[in-house]
Amino acid sequence: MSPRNPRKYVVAEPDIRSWLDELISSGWEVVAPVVERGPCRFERIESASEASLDSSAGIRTRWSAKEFLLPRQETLVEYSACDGSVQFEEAPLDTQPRVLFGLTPCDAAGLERLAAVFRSGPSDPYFQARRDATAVVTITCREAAPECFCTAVGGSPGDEEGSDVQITVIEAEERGASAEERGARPRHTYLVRSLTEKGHRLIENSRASWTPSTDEIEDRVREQLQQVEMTVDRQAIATGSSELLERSFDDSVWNEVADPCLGCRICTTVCPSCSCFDVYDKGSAACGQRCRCWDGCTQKLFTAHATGHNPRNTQVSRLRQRVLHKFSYFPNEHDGLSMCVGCGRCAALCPAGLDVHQTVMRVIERMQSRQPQEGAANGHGA
Amino acid sequence: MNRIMEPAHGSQPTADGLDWQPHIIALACNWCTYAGADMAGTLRLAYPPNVHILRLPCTGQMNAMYVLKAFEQGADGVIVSGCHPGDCHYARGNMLARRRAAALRRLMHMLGLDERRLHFAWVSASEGAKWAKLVADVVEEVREAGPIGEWAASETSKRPNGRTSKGPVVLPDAGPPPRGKPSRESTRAVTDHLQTLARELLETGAASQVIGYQQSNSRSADRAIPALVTRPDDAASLTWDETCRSNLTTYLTRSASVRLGEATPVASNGAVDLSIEGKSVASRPAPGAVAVVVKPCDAKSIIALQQEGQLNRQSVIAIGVPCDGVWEGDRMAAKCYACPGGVASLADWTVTEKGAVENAEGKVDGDDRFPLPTAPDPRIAQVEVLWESDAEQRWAFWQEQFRLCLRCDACRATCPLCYCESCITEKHRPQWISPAADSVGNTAWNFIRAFHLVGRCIGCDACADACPADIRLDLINFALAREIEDRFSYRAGEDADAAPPLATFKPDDPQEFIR
Repeated sequence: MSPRNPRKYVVAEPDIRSWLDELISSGWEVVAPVVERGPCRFERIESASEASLDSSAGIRTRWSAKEFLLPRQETLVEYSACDGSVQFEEAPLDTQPRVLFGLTPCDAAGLERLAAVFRSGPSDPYFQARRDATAVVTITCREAAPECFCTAVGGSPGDEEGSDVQITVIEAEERGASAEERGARPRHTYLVRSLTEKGHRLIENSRASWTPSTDEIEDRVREQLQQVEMTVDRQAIATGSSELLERSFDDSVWNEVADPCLGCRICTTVCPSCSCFDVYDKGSAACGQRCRCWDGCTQKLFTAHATGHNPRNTQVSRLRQRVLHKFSYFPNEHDGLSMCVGCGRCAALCPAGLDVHQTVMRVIERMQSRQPQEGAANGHGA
Repeated sequence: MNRIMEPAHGSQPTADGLDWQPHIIALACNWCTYAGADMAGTLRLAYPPNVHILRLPCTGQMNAMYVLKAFEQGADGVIVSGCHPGDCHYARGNMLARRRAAALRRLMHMLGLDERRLHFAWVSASEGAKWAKLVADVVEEVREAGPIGEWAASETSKRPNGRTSKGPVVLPDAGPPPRGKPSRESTRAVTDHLQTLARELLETGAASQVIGYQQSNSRSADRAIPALVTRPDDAASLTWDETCRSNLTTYLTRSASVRLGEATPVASNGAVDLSIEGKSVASRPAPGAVAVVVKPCDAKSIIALQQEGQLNRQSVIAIGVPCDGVWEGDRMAAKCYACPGGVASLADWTVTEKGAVENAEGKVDGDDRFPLPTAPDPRIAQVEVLWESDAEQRWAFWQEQFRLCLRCDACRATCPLCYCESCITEKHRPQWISPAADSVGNTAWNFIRAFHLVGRCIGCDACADACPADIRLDLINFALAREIEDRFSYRAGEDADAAPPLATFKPDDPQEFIR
């Protein structure tokens, strides 16, 4: 999905909203950040007016948009038993065309990681059907939050991975203006770039009234994004770290870093790339469904056997699993690609205050201090 | 689908609504009501056939989960019925059930389930006629309440707008807080004394661990995070200010040396004795006590844990810090409005701006800042608005919140009183609570979580503070705590020797709702 002839336009905010309304009326299901009646989150919208387009810091939803590819709960098979035989009926695949609008670039990258998991081994038709029918529109970040670390794992505030269309707010010249002044100013203009065939189709009907962009504007936007990138202030996790981390499996450092973990799964539920699910049945002997729902490796039931044995019987081993899956096992199988995209949601919300970037850095540092020679070879710094 | 009744005579109304028949599940005690229902049959009394009886040994076995499950699977009404007071074959099962039922009704009511759907009655083995009349009356009341509807109707992809025929419930905003944030000088002075004390406790071995707060500059959330300190040098990371919102006592029951039942016996030489049948297999140094920084509200959970036999008080060193209230940004936490602040009186060490003093019971000479001005808890007015709205509105209000629940269990993890080794939500043979974050699972989880805390919740609001979906868990807990106080004159976390209200009874407990 490399950019092919990206199409670029300068679009005013009202036109962005008309575009969304256009998509809705032409049969797309549009999912966008919503702030009404709850925390900022992704919801299916009926009208563009419901979407939260931007704030001075950019849009930060509490949790990712993964539920529109991997729903919190979905039925796989329905069964019914009558006259001594059992009938199975597979649930229809969800092929509803859907636009995920307003994702951050790290969110879009997270969905790519999710896709990599569901692509490996036997393909998952439920996920794949949604994925094929989904187009992703990202909005680049205007500011880094303290917990953001996309640049430490190979991303950036203007990353195009996983985006079909990417939108950037064209900042007014005076960046020093206060939030209030910015709020009072007339609405933003945006640089809209469609990056893929899917993206081109998405803007096909609306772009006629948009103004083509200029090199000057694109240069300005590029410069803007570089400035935002510099504010992501976290040390890079070197691509070679995954093997070092794998060797940390039995190291006592894990007891230290995992000590505060309370064993909830706030981190896995808000994560854009955590893919684990549980399969369960509901119903009776006569009829029912086999379903799947989100699960999380940080909770003890995740690996509990029917015998009562639990191979990950301590909270330390469970937290270690999540961290090593993101930063070691997955990268080892995907050319060093980090499964974590650095959105920082888990760190922002963890009630125990655990910050996955700091956790990884601590483990890496400890391992390097234990193996000074290899440590030098695997030194961090991008 | 997925109902205990066949759809043909389930609770699906036809277009004209005429053919619908209410479905009633009766949880009947084996000794009285079940025999009473049998008597009705023997006497050839006619009563509506809408009731399915589930026989329990005793109403004392009436579990909120059974009631919830009945509604979840399509029952339109539930009857719980057993022996008259004084007649229980297990001496007190029905008396305990009476208290539990009172709490359950109020929780149901708060969450918007029509109270006409849940009924309690004393029916003895000889009261066949009373049983017949009870069923007839309940069927009529449930008929008025109408079909329970599709509990799982709201798809996760659709967003309800909270609107009902009477409009959404709008909660009044919290008024201005009764006081401002503590001064930087004050919190800095307390922080200094706290660090000194923590270092000393660790250096002398009086404590093996100090659980306190530390600042985090790597998150946008304006909240101090837990610090589990074991090395004296790390005591310098500890801090105290108004962002220390969480309740650290949730870590206590995770500590082997603190939790009762898991405490390892200590040998005479101070080493932990890991002997098996008198044969020592290993030994290690005795773990010292665990010191924990507590606000006055957090301290109540130490009392509640003691009360429930979960905590070895001797192994806990409570470090009381002077609290002016905790804040999230420019909002004071609701629980702080009515609290006069100060240091927890159970504190083993009292830390103030003036210093750290042992066994001072929360008071240090020369520190007379407290009590601070208070204002009514803003949730009193909010809960009143909810009680005054109708069931349909409350249902819409809570469903709108519950649907965002991610089932991350952060509410449970942060709750000091959710200490069960195996939680009801983890029990899957049978699966009591659906593991899915859908409307069935989320309603069941939030319902049962609240019910398991009735009469136990000490109001630290750690659950609501941790919730990523901003569900007003504090409001449910608060509403139920008020009901318990009104009814049983009991407040959780105040007396370690008191019996928890749902684990005891009085012969003359009010029973206005029981037929």
